Amino acid sequence: MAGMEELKQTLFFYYLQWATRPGPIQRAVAGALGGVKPKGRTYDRRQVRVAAVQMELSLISDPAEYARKVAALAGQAASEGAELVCFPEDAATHLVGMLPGIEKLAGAGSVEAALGEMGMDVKVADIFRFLGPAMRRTYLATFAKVASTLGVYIAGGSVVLPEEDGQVRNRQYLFAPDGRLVSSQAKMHLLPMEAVWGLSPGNEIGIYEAPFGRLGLPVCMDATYFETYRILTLLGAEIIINPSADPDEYNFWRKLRGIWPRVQESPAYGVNPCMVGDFMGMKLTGKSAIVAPLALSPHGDGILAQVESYDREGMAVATLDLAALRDYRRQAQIEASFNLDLYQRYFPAVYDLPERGGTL
Amino acid sequence: MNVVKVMAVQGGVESFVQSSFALDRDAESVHPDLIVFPAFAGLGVVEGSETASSFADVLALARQADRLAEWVVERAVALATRTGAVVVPGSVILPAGDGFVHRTYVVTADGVIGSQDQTHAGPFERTWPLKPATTLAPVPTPVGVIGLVVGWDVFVPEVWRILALQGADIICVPNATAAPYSQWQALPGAWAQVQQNQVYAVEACLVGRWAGQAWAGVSALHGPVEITPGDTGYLSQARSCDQPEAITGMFDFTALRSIRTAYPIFSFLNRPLYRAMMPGIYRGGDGRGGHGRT
Repeated sequence: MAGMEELKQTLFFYYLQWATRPGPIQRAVAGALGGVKPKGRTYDRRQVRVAAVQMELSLISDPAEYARKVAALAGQAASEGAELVCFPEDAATHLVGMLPGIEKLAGAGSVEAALGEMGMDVKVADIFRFLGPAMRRTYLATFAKVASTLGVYIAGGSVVLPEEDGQVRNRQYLFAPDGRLVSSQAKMHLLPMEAVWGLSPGNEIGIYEAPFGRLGLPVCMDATYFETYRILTLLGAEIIINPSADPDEYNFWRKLRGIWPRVQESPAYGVNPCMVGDFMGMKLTGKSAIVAPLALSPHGDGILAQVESYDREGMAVATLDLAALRDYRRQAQIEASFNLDLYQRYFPAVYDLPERGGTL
Repeated sequence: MNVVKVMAVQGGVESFVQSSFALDRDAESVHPDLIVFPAFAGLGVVEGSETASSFADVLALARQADRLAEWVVERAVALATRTGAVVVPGSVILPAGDGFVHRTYVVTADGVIGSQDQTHAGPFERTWPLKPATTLAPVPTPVGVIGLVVGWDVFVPEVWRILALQGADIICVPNATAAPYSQWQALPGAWAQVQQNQVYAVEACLVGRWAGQAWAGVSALHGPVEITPGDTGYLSQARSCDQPEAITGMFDFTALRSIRTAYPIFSFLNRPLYRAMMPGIYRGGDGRGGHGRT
């Protein structure tokens, strides 16, 4: 019997390889975007138009259908003039639908419960390890083709994948207008749920120099920690693309805790594309938004654009005035208030104290 | 103590001095365990401070009042003795060489048990000029471990993080912000910092006209949203941004522990990342820009 199970697994593995070959995915994208021709763009370092895509998470078993969904959303953003299109966290989790029978477990109450019902003694990370190669192929083929067809930068949300060191991480990828994968950033601060699932945090951080400005690519919970934005802006980030998938009932104050205060502390533009929908017992909510330092927002509230609904698909689009941001930073003189002696005394030692105890 | 009754006094620079009398009545009926006054309220002990027409006048008064710190502490001890509360008597400005320090105290009936000088100079304080402190030390008190956040420090996340990691559970914020009041301008301060550190905070705001300008703010008792009514992050708020008022509320430490356990933000701090980047990132010199260098 063990031999039969191995055979089934091997056959399913080959099926996934076949089902996720790039050709049909690229054709699906081309079909969804019709006769769109990429525009020859000259980027302006003074401004860029950005879209935060609010996407619904649902199980999708057919990679071509997934590709069409991504293409349609990106196409809508491009039609509104977006030169940088940003997708939410878990932007490829739809493809868990490739697992036979998974849709019958959607009402299990939680991902762990669903796995239990399947009689599987595995962690969620193991599912992503198993599906990883197929998800990676589908995700990369889809976003590369969408970016090159539309001729736009695409921050492809994040995707949970096994990495070369054997760890499973939640990583955001950036695609250039020619379809090249040009940058990525692993989520550095996990949700407790993700730790239980067996995911690992990334311990490195960096920025990407786009022709219009410098980008940071943190993921979801990274916005809970001021350290992320402080480091990114000191590295030079001007636009911080921070996708999320919040498994929480929507509440204005809860949602306000993340990106909005971070861009006030460390001045930058923030782009927050949200995943929404009911998925495997989780209710994902959020209002995708593009936020700014208060002084750079027309109503003084730090909001440049925001989706109305917190549980349906939508899109926030805004033009970011990068020249104004650079002027604002010069005038605000954030660095003039830094207390380097204080930081030298406490960082990083204060992080190594027993949790909430001991003094330096 | 598992539950602490807290009072934030919103008022003018005279609020601390007048409280020695007026608060007796409220304090007797409310019995607060902790009372916090607005920024600069300690200066009210100096004769002429109420009628200062500019901040330059205030700084001149502070330089002349060589017993200022002593007077503030005496009055705070008297109030603590009468009410049985721990008292944070607003803040004072004290001469320090060719500049000033901006200081607040934690006082009980036994005397001063802790103090804190402001560590970051905002645009306003740089004109004094402020001499920033280089230590942040939480103060163990009968009502819990208190961290003191003075002036511009309310907007500096590093300050709150350093205090919280050292065990501060209650952050006291004597605040003074120039009018007009904006909720959006205030939110990145105590409200946001409470959320990312899972602590309680008492914010007492200076209001009214003083030293040649109008001051406004909404005093508040802050907590993590999950343990506050309506998930707002506020346990209590003043009704106006420009009128004197004392607000009270309860800090429940069982609730605070429960949210820290259910949602352990500090357990997911990325220490390897911070070790690699901090404090070096603040010094710049990496050739890649940074705030204002692009």
